[in-house]
Amino acid sequence: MGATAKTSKTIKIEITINGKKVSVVKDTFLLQAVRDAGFVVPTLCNHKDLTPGGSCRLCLCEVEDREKKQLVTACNYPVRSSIEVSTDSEKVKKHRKVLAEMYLGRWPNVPAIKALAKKMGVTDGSRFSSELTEENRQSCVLCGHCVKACDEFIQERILDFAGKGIERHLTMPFGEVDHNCVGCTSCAYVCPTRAIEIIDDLNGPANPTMIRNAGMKINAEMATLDTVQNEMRALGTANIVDVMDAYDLLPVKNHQYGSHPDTPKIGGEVLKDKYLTQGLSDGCWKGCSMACAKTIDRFELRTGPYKGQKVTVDGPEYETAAGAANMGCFDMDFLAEFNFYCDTYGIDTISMSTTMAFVMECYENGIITKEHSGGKALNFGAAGEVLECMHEMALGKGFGVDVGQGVRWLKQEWVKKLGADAAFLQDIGMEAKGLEYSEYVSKESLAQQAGYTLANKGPQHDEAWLIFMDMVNNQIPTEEDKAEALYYYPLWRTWFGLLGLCKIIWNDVVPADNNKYPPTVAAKVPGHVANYFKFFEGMTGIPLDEEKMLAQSARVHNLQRIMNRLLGFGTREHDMPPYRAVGPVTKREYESRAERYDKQMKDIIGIDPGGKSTEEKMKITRKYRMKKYNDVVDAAYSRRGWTKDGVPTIARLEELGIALPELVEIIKDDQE
Amino acid sequence: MPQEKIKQMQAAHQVVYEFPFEIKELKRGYADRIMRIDLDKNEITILPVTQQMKDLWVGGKGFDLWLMFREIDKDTKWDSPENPLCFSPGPLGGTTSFPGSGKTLVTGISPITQSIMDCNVGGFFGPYFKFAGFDSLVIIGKAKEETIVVIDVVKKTVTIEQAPLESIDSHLLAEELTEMYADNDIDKRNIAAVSAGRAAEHSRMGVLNFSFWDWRRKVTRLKQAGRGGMGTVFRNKKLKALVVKNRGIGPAWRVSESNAAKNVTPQRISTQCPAEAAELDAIIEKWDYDPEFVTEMMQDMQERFRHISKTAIDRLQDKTGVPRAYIYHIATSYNDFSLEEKEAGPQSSDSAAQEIKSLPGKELVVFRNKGHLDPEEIEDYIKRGGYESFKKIVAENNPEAIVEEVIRSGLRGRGGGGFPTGVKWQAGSQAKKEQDEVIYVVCNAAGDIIEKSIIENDPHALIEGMLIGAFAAGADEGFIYIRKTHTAAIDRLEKAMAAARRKGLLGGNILDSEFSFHITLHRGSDAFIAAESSAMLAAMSGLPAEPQAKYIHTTEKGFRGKPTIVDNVETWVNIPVIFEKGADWFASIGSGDVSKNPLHGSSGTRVFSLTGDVEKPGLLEVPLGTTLKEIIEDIGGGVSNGGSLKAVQIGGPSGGFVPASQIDMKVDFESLGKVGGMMGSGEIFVLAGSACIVEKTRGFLAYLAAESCGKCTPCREGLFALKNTLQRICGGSGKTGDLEFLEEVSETTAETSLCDLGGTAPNPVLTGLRYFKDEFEEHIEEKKCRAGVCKFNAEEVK
Repeated sequence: MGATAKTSKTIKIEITINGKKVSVVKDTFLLQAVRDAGFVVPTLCNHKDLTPGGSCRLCLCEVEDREKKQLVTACNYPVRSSIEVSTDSEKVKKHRKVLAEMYLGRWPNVPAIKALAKKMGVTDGSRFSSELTEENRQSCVLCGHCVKACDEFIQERILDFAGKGIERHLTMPFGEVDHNCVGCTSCAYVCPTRAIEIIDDLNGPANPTMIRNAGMKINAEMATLDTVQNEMRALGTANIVDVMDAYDLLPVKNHQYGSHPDTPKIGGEVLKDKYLTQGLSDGCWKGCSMACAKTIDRFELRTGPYKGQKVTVDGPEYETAAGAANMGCFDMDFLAEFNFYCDTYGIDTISMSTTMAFVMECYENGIITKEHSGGKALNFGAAGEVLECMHEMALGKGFGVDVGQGVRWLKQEWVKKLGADAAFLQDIGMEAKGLEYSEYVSKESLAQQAGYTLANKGPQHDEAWLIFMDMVNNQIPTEEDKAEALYYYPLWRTWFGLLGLCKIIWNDVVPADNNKYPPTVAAKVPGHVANYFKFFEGMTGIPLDEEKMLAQSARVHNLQRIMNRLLGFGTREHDMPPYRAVGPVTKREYESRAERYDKQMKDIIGIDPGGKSTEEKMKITRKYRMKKYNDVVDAAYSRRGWTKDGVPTIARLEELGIALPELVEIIKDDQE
Repeated sequence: MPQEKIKQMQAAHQVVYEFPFEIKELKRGYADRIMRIDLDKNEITILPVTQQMKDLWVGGKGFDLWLMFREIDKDTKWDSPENPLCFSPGPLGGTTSFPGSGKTLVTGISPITQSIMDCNVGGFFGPYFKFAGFDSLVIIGKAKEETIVVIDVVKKTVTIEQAPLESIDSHLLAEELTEMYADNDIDKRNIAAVSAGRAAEHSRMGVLNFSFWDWRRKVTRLKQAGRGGMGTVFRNKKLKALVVKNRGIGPAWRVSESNAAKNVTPQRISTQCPAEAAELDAIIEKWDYDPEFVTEMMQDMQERFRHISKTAIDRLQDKTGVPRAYIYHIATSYNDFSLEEKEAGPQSSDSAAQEIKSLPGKELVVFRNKGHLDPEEIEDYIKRGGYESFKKIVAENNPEAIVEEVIRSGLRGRGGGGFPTGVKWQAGSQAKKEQDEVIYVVCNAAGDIIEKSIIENDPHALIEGMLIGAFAAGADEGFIYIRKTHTAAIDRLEKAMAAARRKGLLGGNILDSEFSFHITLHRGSDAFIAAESSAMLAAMSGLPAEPQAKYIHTTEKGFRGKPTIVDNVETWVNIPVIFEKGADWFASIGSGDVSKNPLHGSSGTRVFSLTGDVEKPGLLEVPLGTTLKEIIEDIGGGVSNGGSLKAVQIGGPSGGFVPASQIDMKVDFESLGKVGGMMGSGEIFVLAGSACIVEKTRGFLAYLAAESCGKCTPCREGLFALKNTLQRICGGSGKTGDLEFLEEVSETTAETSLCDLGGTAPNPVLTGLRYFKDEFEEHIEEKKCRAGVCKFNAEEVK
């Protein structure tokens, strides 16, 4: 997503490089400033994506600071005052030449060294030859890129140097392969002399180098950009709790509201400082440089059968944290305990919190009482009672078991048994197709409303997580953009599922230059899409482009839609949202954001809200919003090649090459 | 997890079906086969993947749905036996060279939507299953009893087993199964399980937990296929778990062979038996598993077992979290560690305390308490006014004034660079305020005889000095890094700290004030580089002792990345007396005038260690600015055996030679700078006329080359070349051009090295060539050593 980049105050400093005056941001490393100014300085141990080490000493420059002259290594010298820099004084050139000769004496046949020596004017061999001279063309020249990449790209620290002085060499302990090596190949990728051999070949890829070259671009971005864009490594997906709150998109109290003053209590700062273990490799599969699977270590449980035990909590991920907000439980200790018990009992944190939020709203509205809940006061924020329900669920008795049946079941049950207002429950029960909504408030995002309901399995964001590009990054402003997004993204995101890939890697951290594209294109993260096409080709040997990729996904996407149809679903009536996913259901909800809704009424709907009662305004808003929703669904169906009732057309199946008789049979009666 | 319980659980298993299979290598991401398990019939079949399947549905969720489609009809419900649970890792799944490539796609008919559900999930099950040679797994039917399916890639069997005793809750079950099927701790990473918990069977929102072994935390971790009740379907089939056991899938990794590694990598890799491993663990426990004390743990291990074994390195990583690679680096970069068993060398003798000489009538400052107190009696120190300065400071509570006073005194760091101490403190305090961070104060006692003698003589003066510094800077934690061979000094320090703590002078709320200060001792191993402050801070952090660039000062970013004030023992010990007698008094001792600029003079005294060809070697303390002549002749009694003086080397092995002609030179910061010498460690090494300067130079360079950490090129390659060349010259194989080469390499090494070790190491060569060039020339051109030391036989000088 890359939108949350922090802006720190930047101080500019005027410096002089080889007589040329330039302005540099304070604390920029001198090498960067020198290169930006158009000068060339030789380097060997510097790598653009790794922290500078200053060990080869070739980037020496002469720096004069307040009349004091000194030689510094440009790669790790931070510019902090108005210095005068000379990048190629006689002294500097002389030293660089000796350094190059040292390298040539030790590693005379390594192409990178030979080229360096030649450039530095070492023409007559080297006086540094010794019994330790290495004749191998692929010798390690001790630049340290691999050691740093192991740490910075992948957070593993499997590699290091050993020995001291002239005996320094790169190794894994005892010269053996370390069983903790994850095989990410970062070390070989950054090695300038091909001294390291490692190939990721368990899948028998057609072209492993092609895969590596694409994959390592991402590892490099993770190392250099994550801390400024997202902090996935420090916080995991929970890094967006605060962002969602800031944009009024965090579900609070059964999706009534989008923010809450107590959000910081379950926000990133608290998680990072007090709960999550930091600095450990945390991938859910080997070789993941994003490593967002965070944990809370040695968390002491306060309830249930494992009370008093210290356990490892996997998470919390964003959805779980946001679910706590949805239940009005702004308490990190509760969140950790909730997360742990959901996992070990085998309960979906999303369905659980969305269902519980619904139960709480029903309780607060008097639809159910303590009599039904087994004596539990289930107001929003009733953290202890939520845990009680879960423990009941595990034991298979009590009100918790009812909660475990989900929103749709509860709605039916309470209408039938308690005579509850079916229309109200339909409006506030956050489910579609029977599945509970995941944790984003979609009221202001038309794209996300339809993204949720059109998802084949139900309102889960993994098929269409459009809310960020719609609401935070504002990348799909027009209705055409939204309809197109409802075509492209579900297919693009389905593609990850065909290949066995994680989607988070695609657009959480984005390339530094991603904003060079216009917004609708930038949202796709073209640089990363290209990596994935190379990944596919590197594995299968088959080149891929956008058209082919979309066709691959569309076949599976339509298959799923048809299978839904087979089971009696898969038409428009099953793509309808509860109104709360579209607009404000209650008076209080409307009035909490009255300014926004009134303004929209005046500016967009074209009706003056002045003098109207809240009820009247709610009615107008609802009518308008449902129309917009239906319009966008029409547009999306059409773009997908589906009928007005949301069933794939046979023509579309033919176009995709999947007009198989057994599939056509299922939908032939639904054709227009 | 008790082994016994696991064994019981396993013994209760009943295998109801066993299916042998061959592992199949993957090609271009596919195995081209599918495993189908029927729990009704207890039957496993292998189905082919057709080209059409790949063309149309690609894999992953595409395969899952297509496989489902072949199993279901319009009447299939979530709890029908026909409802298939399908698992596919996808053709790109399991890749490690592209991040985020480990997802498994799970599908089935959902109890919550009654329709098609799909989830994606991390964890190791999918890739491990795939690497057995399968693209998808389909499970249909319902078991009658609690069942687990075990896919064992090592045994090449799939078994359907009734498993009544294991837990159902996933955090326990995953751990039990990992323990049950792993051959040993390392093998745990090869086990992955899929399970659901107790609530999954009573609700419609049950998840599947996919496990993986987290070797760092030593727990099984769980990732969820969360949506739509796939765990509910799983439990409805009476499945307790799916387990896959893989072979190790460690990569083939290789680095090109290097000559440099040959002397380091041991011929035989030593491992230790369980009983010895328990002793290793006890050592680690003694140091509280603290990664910052990994070097100390290794010292104890070396002492106990006379080497650092592979077992030791594994245990250290396991229990402290310090990576094996870093431990191996540490083990191969200090002189006192060995990877193969070696005979205990001669007990590194901790030399006895010495007499301190001085010039008549000159006051001792550093050794002010020598002979006046028992260093092990805090009361003696207090009786002589000790801790009075500190008490006054706490009472006045004016940190800025302390710093001002130290600046005014003109005290400069005794460690080497001679940076004004007060200015350093000021920078540290400033950084602490700006960053709103903690600050640490550190005493560098990595040096040799001088540091050790001062501490042995007056440990409380060091503690008081650090207390004052900590109070001024606002530090509540301090460290003393002391060479481990200084056993007597360590003992005295520990006793002194304990006494100070008992007196309420060290610890929490000192003197009932808000101020707290704790001192921790670090025992440093034997490496010259560890005295360099940034390398020392690295060593204190449990890292290899390698220096860092100092463009960002330690006062801004030092130990643990926080502002840090580092001073050496002698500097700290000067602090209390400055406050006792005043900055003016201190500035009146020594040379130069520091009233305007703290860099314009050398206040106070300095302790030197006089060695070499001198009649009365030993420790001495003189005011800075005392001449070499006074030191050597008046205190040292002149050159030994009445010989003539040739040169003096000041500041340790990397100090420059000062020729006899300059014996009237004052020993202070300014004069030394002018002649290419340095204060350094405070050693004054006297060379008699009979000494061969070339051979001495060779000896120093051989030592320094061996002590280079090897991080930066000029120091590593340059010192090695200087040593080799000097060795050749002393062996009679010097040749024309050698001297130019020595000079050129020395200049580059001195001017471009990362730290002061490389920066100063060429000093003996440069000053040797400056003052004694004719001797070098004689060695090369005439194969003549006027001192008769060099035998011109390469073998003998090695």
